[in-house]
Amino acid sequence: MKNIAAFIDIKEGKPSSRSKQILQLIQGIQQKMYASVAIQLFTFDTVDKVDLPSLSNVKLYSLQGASDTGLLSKEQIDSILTLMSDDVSTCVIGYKSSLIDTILTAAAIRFNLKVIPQVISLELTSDQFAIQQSIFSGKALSYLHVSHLSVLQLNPAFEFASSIVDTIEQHCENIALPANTTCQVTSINKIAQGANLAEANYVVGAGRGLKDPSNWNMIEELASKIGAATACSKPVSDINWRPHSEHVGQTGIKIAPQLYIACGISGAIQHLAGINGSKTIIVINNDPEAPFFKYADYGIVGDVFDIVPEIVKNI
Amino acid sequence: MPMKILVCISAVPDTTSKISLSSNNFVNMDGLTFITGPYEDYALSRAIEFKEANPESIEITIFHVGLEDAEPIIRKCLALGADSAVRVHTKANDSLQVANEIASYVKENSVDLILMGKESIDYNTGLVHLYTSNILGWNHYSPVMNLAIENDSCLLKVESSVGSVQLTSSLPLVLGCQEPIAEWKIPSMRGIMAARTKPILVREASAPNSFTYEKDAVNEQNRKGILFQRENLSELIDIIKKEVRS
Repeated sequence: MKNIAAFIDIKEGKPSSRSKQILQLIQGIQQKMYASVAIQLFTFDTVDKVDLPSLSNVKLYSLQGASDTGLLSKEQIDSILTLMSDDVSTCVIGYKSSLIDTILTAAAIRFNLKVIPQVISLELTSDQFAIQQSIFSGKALSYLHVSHLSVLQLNPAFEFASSIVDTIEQHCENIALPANTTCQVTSINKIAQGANLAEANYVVGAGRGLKDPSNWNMIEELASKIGAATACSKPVSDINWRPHSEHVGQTGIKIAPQLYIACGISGAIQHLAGINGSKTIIVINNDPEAPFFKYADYGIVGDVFDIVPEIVKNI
Repeated sequence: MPMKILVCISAVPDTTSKISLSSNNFVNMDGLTFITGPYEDYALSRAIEFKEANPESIEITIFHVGLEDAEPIIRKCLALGADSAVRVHTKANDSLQVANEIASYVKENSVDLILMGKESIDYNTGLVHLYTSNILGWNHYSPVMNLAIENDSCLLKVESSVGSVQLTSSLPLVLGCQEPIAEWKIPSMRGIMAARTKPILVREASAPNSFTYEKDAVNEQNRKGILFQRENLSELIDIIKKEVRS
């Protein structure tokens, strides 16, 4: 391996908590086997400089020109791949998302590599990665060994355990991508909420137990108090109480936050398929028989209209 | 010439399936109920809406990589209103393999639009449509939530990291679909009868597997399962505070 190209998010001058996992992985690779490997970090966020873990031989690029739509054309992807060294001895790493996946697959085809999907953990061995892959929406794991020269599509719950000691300030080079000319954008309806659900550290979800869309005030209040994103169950987005972009589950967004608080959600297996990457799960439901309690770390049987405002008041 | 839509479908265990291992240390598929991937159901439903609105000008072909046990699922897609089906006779192993099979069919047959789900719900990779577009050099969007066709262009609503984006892009296209692109359909008795005589072409596999899996494991999640009473709510609040601080 001679190069690693990785895609990270920068929030307030720091790598996001998910991106830290990527940086820890890269640090591990440099420390354990490829000290001389060149690191290219790419971000779509606009930054001047960032505090990064101390890596050697590292460059940071801020890609400009995709942030208005969140879409990339073939030409734009080509220009990103051109920045990556044309040496084919490359490993490409990024978290699964509709944007990053477009680059990962294009890189795999260009550099004749394989995308290893849904990597949830990996161990470094001298000539291969020992991979655990999340399958069946997290209900099972698959094991395989792959070449270091691979494209790793990371599952939202991916972790690489190590502790970063030193950080150094890294300057960022701005790269202007060519204009997207393959489609004509007629309108953009931006997501209202600030916290991106798929990457949120804390999520407050609510379901039909809320009884009416007007009752979401207390959910939003709780979310804003703890800096969480808001989510909902499928029935709630189906009847348009909440936007589809908040639907978490088998056919919606898969989340992997530090903390998930589920309010008035019974815990149908389809919903659990979207939240089982959560570290800690708290369930609030008035039905003691709700299946969700079996999948909770902490549960409380009670009326959401009593419990949630009480939490908001005391937190 | 009718417009040709290829709808690629996965056959996946029903969403409520309990996953267990068989004696060879892989997920046990025996005894599970298989269904059309839910996202592919959305893609097919939208294609059928186009055909119902304009029966003469749309031709729908179902494409599946898998063994003969998937034929009841393919037959159901035909009963919903697809015209014909192609099944590549091999076990689907990985996204690149499936995409190579799709691309090799499309290179030999005229296709204007390729629809599939944004991801299959077994391996959840969401890569087949991307690989297919890269191999064919076609433009690609996913996840698509609205789709209309106007002459040689598609009007799309795509969910991206910034929100939902309405755009126009010209054919040919590869699209990964998700709700609410269409309502799921239920086959009619007439459709089921008609499907019996519709052709399912069996093709030989040509693409290699990309990698070999060594074993599977059930992902046991050990949740703490601690239940609080209303009078102990303050303890739960302390836990939330601690979680949020760490």
